[in-house]
Order: sequence, then structure tokens, then C-alpha cells
Amino acid sequence: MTYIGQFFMGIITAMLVENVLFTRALGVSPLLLVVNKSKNFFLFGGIITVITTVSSVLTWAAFQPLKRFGYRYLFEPLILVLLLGALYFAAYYFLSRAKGERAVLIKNALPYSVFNCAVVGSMLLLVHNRMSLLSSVVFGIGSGLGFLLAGFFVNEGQRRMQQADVPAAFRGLPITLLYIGILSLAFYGLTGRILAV
Amino acid sequence: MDIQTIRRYKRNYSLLSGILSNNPILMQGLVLAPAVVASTTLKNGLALCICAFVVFLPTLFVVSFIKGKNQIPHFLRMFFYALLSSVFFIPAAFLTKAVFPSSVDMLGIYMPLLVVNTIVIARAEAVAVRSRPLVAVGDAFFHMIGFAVPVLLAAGIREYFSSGTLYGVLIDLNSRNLTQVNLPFVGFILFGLMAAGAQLISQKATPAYRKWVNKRIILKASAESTAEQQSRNSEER
Amino acid sequence: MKKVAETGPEEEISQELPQKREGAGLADMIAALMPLFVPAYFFYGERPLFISLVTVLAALAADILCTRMRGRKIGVHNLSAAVTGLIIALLMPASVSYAVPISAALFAILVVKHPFGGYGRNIFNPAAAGYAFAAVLFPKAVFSFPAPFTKLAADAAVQDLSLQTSLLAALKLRTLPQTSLFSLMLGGVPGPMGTTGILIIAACLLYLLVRRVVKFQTVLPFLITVFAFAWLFPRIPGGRLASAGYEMMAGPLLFCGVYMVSDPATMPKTGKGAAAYGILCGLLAMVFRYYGAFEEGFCFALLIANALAGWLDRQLSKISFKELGIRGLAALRGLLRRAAGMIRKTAAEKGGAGNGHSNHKKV
Repeated sequence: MTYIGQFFMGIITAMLVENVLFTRALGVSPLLLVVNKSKNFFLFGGIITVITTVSSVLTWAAFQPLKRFGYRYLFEPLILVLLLGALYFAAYYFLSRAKGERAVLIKNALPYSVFNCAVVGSMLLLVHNRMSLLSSVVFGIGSGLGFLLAGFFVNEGQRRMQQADVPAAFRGLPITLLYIGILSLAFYGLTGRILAV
Repeated sequence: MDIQTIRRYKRNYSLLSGILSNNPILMQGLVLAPAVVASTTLKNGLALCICAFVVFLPTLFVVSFIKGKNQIPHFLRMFFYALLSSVFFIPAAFLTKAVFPSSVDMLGIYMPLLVVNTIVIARAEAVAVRSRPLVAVGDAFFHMIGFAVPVLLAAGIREYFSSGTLYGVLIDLNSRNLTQVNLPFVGFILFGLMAAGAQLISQKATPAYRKWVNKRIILKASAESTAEQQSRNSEER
Repeated sequence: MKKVAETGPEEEISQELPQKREGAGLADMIAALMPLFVPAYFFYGERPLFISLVTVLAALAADILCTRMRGRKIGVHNLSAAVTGLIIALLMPASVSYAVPISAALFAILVVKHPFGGYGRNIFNPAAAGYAFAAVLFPKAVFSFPAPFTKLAADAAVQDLSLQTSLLAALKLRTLPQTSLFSLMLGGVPGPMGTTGILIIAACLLYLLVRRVVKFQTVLPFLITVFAFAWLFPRIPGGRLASAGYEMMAGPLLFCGVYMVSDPATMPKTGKGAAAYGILCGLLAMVFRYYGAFEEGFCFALLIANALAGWLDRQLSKISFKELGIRGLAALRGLLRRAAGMIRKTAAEKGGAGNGHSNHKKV
């Protein structure tokens, strides 16, 4: 039972306390591009959760032999891009075989979801912090869910800001950045320390 | 002056838009993750800029060769751009580590993140795929300057408030050493305010700039037509 | 000018503050904050008054500057900046240096209030954001307090004071505080300038409720949730009543509940939304207190609840309790009918089976 308890605590931690967007600013740019449409962010977040979970296992496996490689930092992005590329092609292939409009929607959102700051950033965090397999999976799920939660907040904020009387210089990107910043301040109340990169 | 030349002149002038009116961070919101979190000291900021330069310019240069008959199918594009950037990342990271060894550790995950950043895709799709190589590189160069200026500004402000130094040189002896300005939320607020400032300047300045560009084109066109007139007159004689 | 954005079948509930009754509400708020200076002066001398004055002036200056920059007229609504300044100042320890509340007030007005739309349209409570800003950037200054009855002059040398931690630190360490609940009510404990006089704050709450400045739909659920949470999950030894008492009276929670939760601009605008918002604030405040990094996490919790206020309005307006009641009764009736039918069937079976069974036996 304690394993399940730790599992959930780990997910909650990665999701709330170390939220991908609010504490590490990962995935801000793609989120801003997607969130303008009301329903889409949920799908986007869902896809990203699946991708972070699956690729966390692949990443852990791929980087195990490279633990003591001094020049690893040079090749990290390349290896990750190849891994994610394999995942992308597999997903693309299966989605092309599947029928239905949801499959088409997911297929269209797939490129942005896979080669994404949030996904790649989470994978890099796994590698840099040398997590074990179980913590990697937990962190992957939590990252994805945290991104979903952040997308929810930003979507809600966009709605409010459309109604409000924002000065012309602040409309659009600046006010969204301030909004994310204030929420980031609020989430800092949970962690209280600067997270390691 | 024919329409092609006008287009060419306008495009050359619009290259400069990468600095202000199309600024990748402040106006388009593209490379936010590294900028907001990792611009904590001037050295880190410079390391980030060097890495970005050495990754993006060659990538967009190579992309500009691939057009027309060799067009990459749509679903492969993101993967291709990411692959290209990660290949160029290897010399970029090596160079950055040689120049700023401590910064690479402090930047952590945010340096490799430049590889998959949205700026590559955005610029590649918008400009590099349909322009000559030199134009693509010019566009990339000015966008990188547009990336560097806010990052270095924010890095300088944050370094000053957190330790009273600038680029490692102690400036303020009575500094309060507010290390908390290195938090992401200060980064978000700083960049949000800078973005508002950029939007304000760009809203006021863009119409004036466009008028200036149009006037230059008209002047150049009239100069050309008078030159043609003169050469025709001299031929007739 | 109301701009109601339409997004599909859901109707947007405008989050703008109606323009009527601005002045009366703000004046009442300021009147309700004034009595808190009596215990502040009594315990800490004249310094609290000067800190509050300077903070209010800074907030007003920033507000007037922004109002002019946006080309609007200066009016009664600028008093809201005075309220923000007073709240920020009263949440600070009397030993804080002038720079801290001033920078908090400037952050609150210049970054949190006006870019989001100014009076009545801001998403986040500026005072909460200002306090959060100060707490994060200057944690030692904001969370160390002078002992009560240390009279401080306006220009006292605060660097040399010996400062203590408030009762909340003891709660965070899961120990029972040494002061009794009764003396907590009177306010002779180390704490922020304006939040230790519990009885006075309760009286101000009654005043504000009577004057309808503060909505009971928000404050009552908030207080009940905090009490219930502390009762159900005590973190200090000494019994549930003691836990609930200490949690509610130690620290600025009651002050924040009275003056910040029911801020008309950031609250949800429907009744059901307001009640849910109160409960959410209470829950988040306790969670941040128990698991957060700071001893008092209310302001961070309030910012998150502010972000969700519009969502609460939208979701709860879809639920109508009358409809739920009618549907519930109908479902209950259906259940009862089915149960009655089943009982009849089993009775018939038993009777029939009994006969059949006896037949079988006979054979």
C-alpha cells in the first residue's frame, strides 16, 4: 500500500509543487499558441501526458549506459530528438491506421506535442537528476498532468482578460506573462526554494 | 521600379523587424522557457546567446536550401528541424563550455532546450523555406539580436539585485543580496513588463517606420526613372 | 463598458464590478481598518502609524499616476489604493524597514492592479499579491516580529532589535504554543502589526457585515471550513478544540478572512460561486499552512482562488439546487417503487416456493 501512496504523492508533487509551467517555465510558448482555442488545451495536455509517460521509460533506458560519459551534455538533445522521433513515427503510423475525427485531431496536434519544451525539458530533468525507473515514470505522469493543470489556469486567465479593460500596451502576450508570473508566485508558496536544474 | 524590386526592398527592410516589431520573445512569445528562468547573471545570459546563435544560424541556413522540389513532407518537418538543431548543438555546446564553463552547469536543462524551441520552427516556416540562404541567415541574425537584448537586460537587472555584481564585477557594496530575484516569477514579471514596453514602442514606432520605408522606395524609384530618362535622352542624341 | 465574450454555448458571466456604491463601500472599509491601529499603537508605539502612512502614500501616488497615464479621471475609486496600502502595512511586523511595505505596495498597484484593468476589473487581490511579493523577497523581514510592548519610534534602528517568531512558527513545528487562547484574543502576542487584536477584528467583521460591504456568503463558509479543517486534522497536541482555536486565532488568518476574501472585485459574482469560493479559500489556506514553505500561506492561496473565481461562477451557475432537488426526489421515488416491487415479488416467490417446496417434499 505504501508504494501506491508514494506513487500518488510523487505525482502530486510533480504536478503541483514542481509544476512544469509555473515553477520551471517549460512549455510556455507552445501553450500560449494552443490555448487560444477553448477546448483544445485539454486534448493537447492529454497527449503530452501520454508522451511524457512513455518517453520517460525510453529516456531512462537510453541514458542508463551513458551515466558516466563526460561529454554527455553535447549529445543529450540529439539522443532525445531521435527517441522522440521514433515515438512520433510510431504514433503517427498508428493514428493513420485508426479511423475517426479524433484520430485526425490528435494527428494534427502531434508534432507540436512531441517536440515540445515541456516534454524535452522533463526528459532532460530526468537525466540530470539521475532518477530511478519508478521515479522517472512518476515524474513523467506528474509533468504531463501539471502541464494540463497549467493549461487550465492559463485558459481561464485568457477568458478573464478578454472581459477586462487591459491597457493597449499590455494586451495579448504581456498580460498573459504577468498572469503566469503571479500564479508562479502563488505556487512558490508551496515549494519555498529554487528548484535545481 | 517594378514590383519585384519593391518587394525586395521591403523585405530587406523588414529583416530589421526581428529586433523590435517581431521580437521573438517580447512580441511573439517564442523562446520563453530559457529566457525567463535561466537569465540570472550576465555570464549565463551571454552563454545562452552564444549557444543560440551557433545553433540557429546554421540551422536556418541549411533549411533555406531545402525548398521547391526537395520540399519536406509536412509531417516530417518538426522532426527534421529538431534533428538539424540538435546536430548543430554539438559544436555550439562545445564552444559555450569552452568560453563559459560554469554557466553551462548553471543553465542546466535550459541550454539543450534551445534545440526544440519554437523559434526554429516559426522562423523556418515563415522565412527560411522560401528565401535565399543569405536572406534566411540575415533574418535569423536579427531575430537572435532580438532574443539577446531582452535576455541580457533581464540578466543584468537580476544579477545586480541578487548579488550587486555585473558580469562578476562587484558594483554595489551595500547590496541587499536578494537572491530571490532569480526565481522564475520575477522572470515572468520582468519579461511581461518588457513585452508591454516593446509593444508600446512598436505601436508608436511602426507606422512612422513604414512611412519612412515607403518614402525611401519612392525616392529611389524616382531617382531611377530620372536616370533612365537621362540615358534615353543621351541615346536619342 | 461591459464586454462579454461569447465562447460557444456557455454564457460568460461578466466579472466586472458594477459601478454603483463605490464610495460608500470603500469608506466603510477604511473605517473598519482604523480601529486596528489602537492595539498597534498600544503594543508597538508610533512606528506602525508611520509605516502605514508611508505605505498608503506610496500606493496612492502609484494609483494616481496610473490613472492619469490611462487618461482617466481621479475619483473616489482611488481610495481602493489606500485600502490596499493599509492592508499591506497592517500585515507587516512593526520592525520592518520602510522599503519592504513600500515596494510591496508599488508592486501591488503597478503590476497587479492596473495592467489587469484597474479598479473593479483586476483578477488578483493586489494586497495579497503585494504581501506575497514581500514574503518571497524578504522572508526574514516579514516573518520576524518584535515582542509586544516594545515601543518603537518612527526612525528606530530596527537592525539591532531582537526579534521573535510568531505563534505560527510553533504551529508549523507541531508544538502547542505557550500562550493561552484567551490572551490570544486580547492580542499580547508577537505578530503582524494589525492582526493580533482578535476581538477588535471580530467587531469590525460584524460592522462590515451589517453595512453589507462584506458578503456573509463568502466569509461564513471560509471560517467554517478553516474551523472544520483544524478540527478534523489537528497538527498540534492538545485536543481538537485547542487546535481549531489556535489555527483560527494565531496569525493573520482572521484579518485576511475579513478584509481580503470578500474583496468585491476579485470575488465570484454569483451567490453559489461566492460560497464555493469561501470554502475553496479556506481549504487552500489550510493546505498552504500545513504543507507550504511559509508559516502563513494565505496570500498565496488567495491568489490561486482568485484565478479560479470565474470558473467557479461558470460551473456553479450550471447547477441549480431546485432542479437537483426535484430530480433527486424523482429518483428517490423511482427507487422506492422498485424496492416495493422487489419485496412483493420475493414475498410471492416465497409463498409460491414454499408451496412448491412442500410439493416437492411430498413427492
